[in-house]
Amino acid sequence: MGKVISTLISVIVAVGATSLLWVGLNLVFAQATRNFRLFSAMIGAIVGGVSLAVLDGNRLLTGLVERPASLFNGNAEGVFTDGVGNAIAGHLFWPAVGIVVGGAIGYALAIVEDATLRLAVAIGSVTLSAVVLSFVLKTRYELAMRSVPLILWTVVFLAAGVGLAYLRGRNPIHGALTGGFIGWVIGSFGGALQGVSVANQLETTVAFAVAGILLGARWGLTTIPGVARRARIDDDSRAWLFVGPAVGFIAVMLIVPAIQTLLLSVQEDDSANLAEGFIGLDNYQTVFTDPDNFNATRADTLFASEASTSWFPWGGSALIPWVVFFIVVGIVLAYLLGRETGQTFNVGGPPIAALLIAAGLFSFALFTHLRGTIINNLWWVVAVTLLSTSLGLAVAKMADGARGEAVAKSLVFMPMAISFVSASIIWRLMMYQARDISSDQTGMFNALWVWLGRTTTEWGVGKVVIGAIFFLAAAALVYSAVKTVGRSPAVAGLYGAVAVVPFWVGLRTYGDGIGGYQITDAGEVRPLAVNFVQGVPYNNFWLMVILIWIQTGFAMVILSAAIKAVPDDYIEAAKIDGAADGQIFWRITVPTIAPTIGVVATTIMVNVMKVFDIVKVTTNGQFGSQVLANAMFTEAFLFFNQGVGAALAILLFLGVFPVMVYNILRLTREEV
Amino acid sequence: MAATTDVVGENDIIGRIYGALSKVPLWFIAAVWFLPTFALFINSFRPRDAQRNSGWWTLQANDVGTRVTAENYETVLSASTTNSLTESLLNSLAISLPATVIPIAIAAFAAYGFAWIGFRGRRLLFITVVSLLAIPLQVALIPLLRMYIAGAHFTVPFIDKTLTLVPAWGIQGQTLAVWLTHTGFAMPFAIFLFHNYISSLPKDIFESARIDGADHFTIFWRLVVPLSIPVLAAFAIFQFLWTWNDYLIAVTMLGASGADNLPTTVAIANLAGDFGRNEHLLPAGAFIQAFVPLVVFFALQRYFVRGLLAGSVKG
Repeated sequence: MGKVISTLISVIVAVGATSLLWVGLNLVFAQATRNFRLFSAMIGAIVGGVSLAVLDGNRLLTGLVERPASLFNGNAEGVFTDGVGNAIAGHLFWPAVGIVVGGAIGYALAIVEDATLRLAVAIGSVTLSAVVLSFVLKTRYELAMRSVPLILWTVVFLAAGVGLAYLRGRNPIHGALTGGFIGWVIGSFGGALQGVSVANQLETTVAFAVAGILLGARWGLTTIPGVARRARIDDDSRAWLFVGPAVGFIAVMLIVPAIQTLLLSVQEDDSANLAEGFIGLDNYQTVFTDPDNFNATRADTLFASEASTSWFPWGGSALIPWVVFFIVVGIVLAYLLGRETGQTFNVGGPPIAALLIAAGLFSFALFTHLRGTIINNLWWVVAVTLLSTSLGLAVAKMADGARGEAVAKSLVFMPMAISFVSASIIWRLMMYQARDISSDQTGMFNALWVWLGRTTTEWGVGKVVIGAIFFLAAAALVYSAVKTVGRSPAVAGLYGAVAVVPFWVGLRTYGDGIGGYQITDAGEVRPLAVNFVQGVPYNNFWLMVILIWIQTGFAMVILSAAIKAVPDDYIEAAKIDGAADGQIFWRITVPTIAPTIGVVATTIMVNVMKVFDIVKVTTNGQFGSQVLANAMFTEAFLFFNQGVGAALAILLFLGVFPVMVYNILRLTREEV
Repeated sequence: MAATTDVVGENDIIGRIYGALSKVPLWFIAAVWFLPTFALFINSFRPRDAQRNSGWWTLQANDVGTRVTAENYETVLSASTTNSLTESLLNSLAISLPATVIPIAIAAFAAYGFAWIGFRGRRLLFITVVSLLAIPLQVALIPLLRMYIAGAHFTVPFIDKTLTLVPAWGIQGQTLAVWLTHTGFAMPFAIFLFHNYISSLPKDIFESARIDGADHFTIFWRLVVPLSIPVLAAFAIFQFLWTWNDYLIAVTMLGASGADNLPTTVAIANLAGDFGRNEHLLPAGAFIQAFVPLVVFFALQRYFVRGLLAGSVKG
């Protein structure tokens, strides 16, 4: 508990201090329009105080009062020990000097209006302060001028300053002075040798003096702003103050690290910097040639017939007949639809649906035949996005206007509140648990599967009822087909084709039976449990189910709001024209909410690409279930292969890059 | 309005059966979706042997005949045993509260700045910020961890001097590192969400305030914040759930040196990896971890949904 309290206190203090600082800055800049002299003085004071505090904090200046350990030392013995007066005075002395001197200069520049006098005052005061500073600098930090870097830096920055000034249409002399000042400072900083007797006071003073002259001249050339410019200073400064912290956080925590990761990915592990460790794309090559990451050696068996131990076409070549079936259905429906609309072939709604089903089954077959981390990620993205979005759309449509809509939607949405870790535990422990067939199954899926096997392999009430359920489903679909055949043979054909699936399952139920069983050589029927979590490669799919369970609620909520936002007049007009419910949904609602479907799909895609927690907690990437994010974590933080880890992170980024581009395009088309 | 169907002649008997049947899929899905969480809840109250030997739906007793027991919760919540989660609950709170409150403040200011202060480069900067919405965190983790351990230094080329931009405070292993990271990563989404809302506030109130002489600071505090409470609340809930449920950032930043500061997600993940010794505690642990988000979810569902919807529905 003490830890929580101390955390709370430190957070409050930090937040409080930062807020006071921020509010204070706001008040300062508010003076720009109200009392410009005060504003100028305050700005001068702040600049002077902060720069001297930084110099002092880095222990570059000789203190007038000796004080104990620096504030930035880990154990702060500093401020409140060894005599309060000495310590505080010691730390505060130079910043206080900076405040006073800076404030004075700022005020002076705000009251002197004559141009020549301003120049004189500015150059004089700044140079004087700089020279005094040079004497106060600790001896071992004195500068030794190395002419070549010094001249180089000064000239380069001077030219840059002039160039920038021309580009922005400003006075080139201003640019030259600013550039020259920056270049000079960096160049002489380069000459600051520590603890070497080559340095001397004269060179230090000269360096400081020149810097002072340049800076003073630049400031002296400015004019006291008029009312309009003061208002602009106020406005622009607010922009920086309001937007600055957020942009700063983003730059420090997102942009700079991202660039660093990119650089890390082209370096060898443990190399000191880019120059020494550059190995080009070697890390990427390692990633792609590792058979754990991409393995296509089983692809040629995709179409070969495989002896299957189970009656269900889990994947691979057993699914191919179904793929062919739906492709043929698609062609037939295109012909039927063509006849409806007066063309030879029309690739409209129903044919596309059939072809989509075929494509889905084929991709499932393909993914189960290839292996590797990269393939897994692709599989995750395709399967989860498709299934979550479609299920979400289906639930949103079914719940729309139904009784108990809020309850149903709440139940489907609830998994979103649960962490991936807890969800993985739920599914691994309670749904997917597989035990030896001699004992009871504790996992729900296996219990159901084994029960199904036991019940349907022997004739009894169970077998009859279960088979009847499937035939009933097939009958319902055939009924829909019959009712729509008058209106649209193509849609009827689609219903009929889909009805084949439950019909086939029903046939098998009444035949050998469905569910978890196997027939031994002796003709005996034994129960067979499925090892969901460890069975290669379908364990990937069962892990995906966990994410689908969570993400469907997200898709449902957004699509439900979109469906409700479709203008009522469209729907009523369609009803007046005699459109049926299905037609309204597919021809009006779906096209209207298509942009939202796009947003949902891309958001889910991005989230799925990053899947980490689920895989880590259930299998930790073993049994062929590895994904890029987990591989990156293992390589970078467990094996300390930072180069390879960074390469994997960049690959992840490339995976979501298309979505980023799509978002940017969408945004630039709208008005900010 | 009941869902109508494609069927002509709904009032005949087959039509009515069909109509009733078409409601089944919705409730089937809703039941299936609810089942896992319900299973967790039930199983957390069963003793260890019962959990190991029979499914949760059987509610079978263990050898001693106990069907339901609170001992799992006792073990997991008591402060003394090694499997205790009480410490990690406090750690989760220590991470989630700052990680929720601080981004709101920073992003609200920035969103107002982007929406109502015209400055040069506003559009470009905004697009940059929002395009980072999709960026995966993995891309920033390695350098961030390095920075927390060793600080950030920049070596000026050609003169070989090193500037210390960020001192080596060595904050890895502390909750500070975790919520600081969360704050940074939350920025793009927060700014996007708030900007959507703030930019749609009516322009006249700002104009009349400016005519009355109010500066941006006053306008923000007196006008924008009170009007934006709904979206601020929505984001707060969203961010709180996200940080409470987070695993990746916590496990990366806390790692080995932060074993005292692990939040609940990492604690139960570690329990789960314990080779099944403490598997019977997992349901109780997972339910405790999920309890706070579930409560927040049920109590404040409306705001959560509103947060998700903002900017996602294209009219």
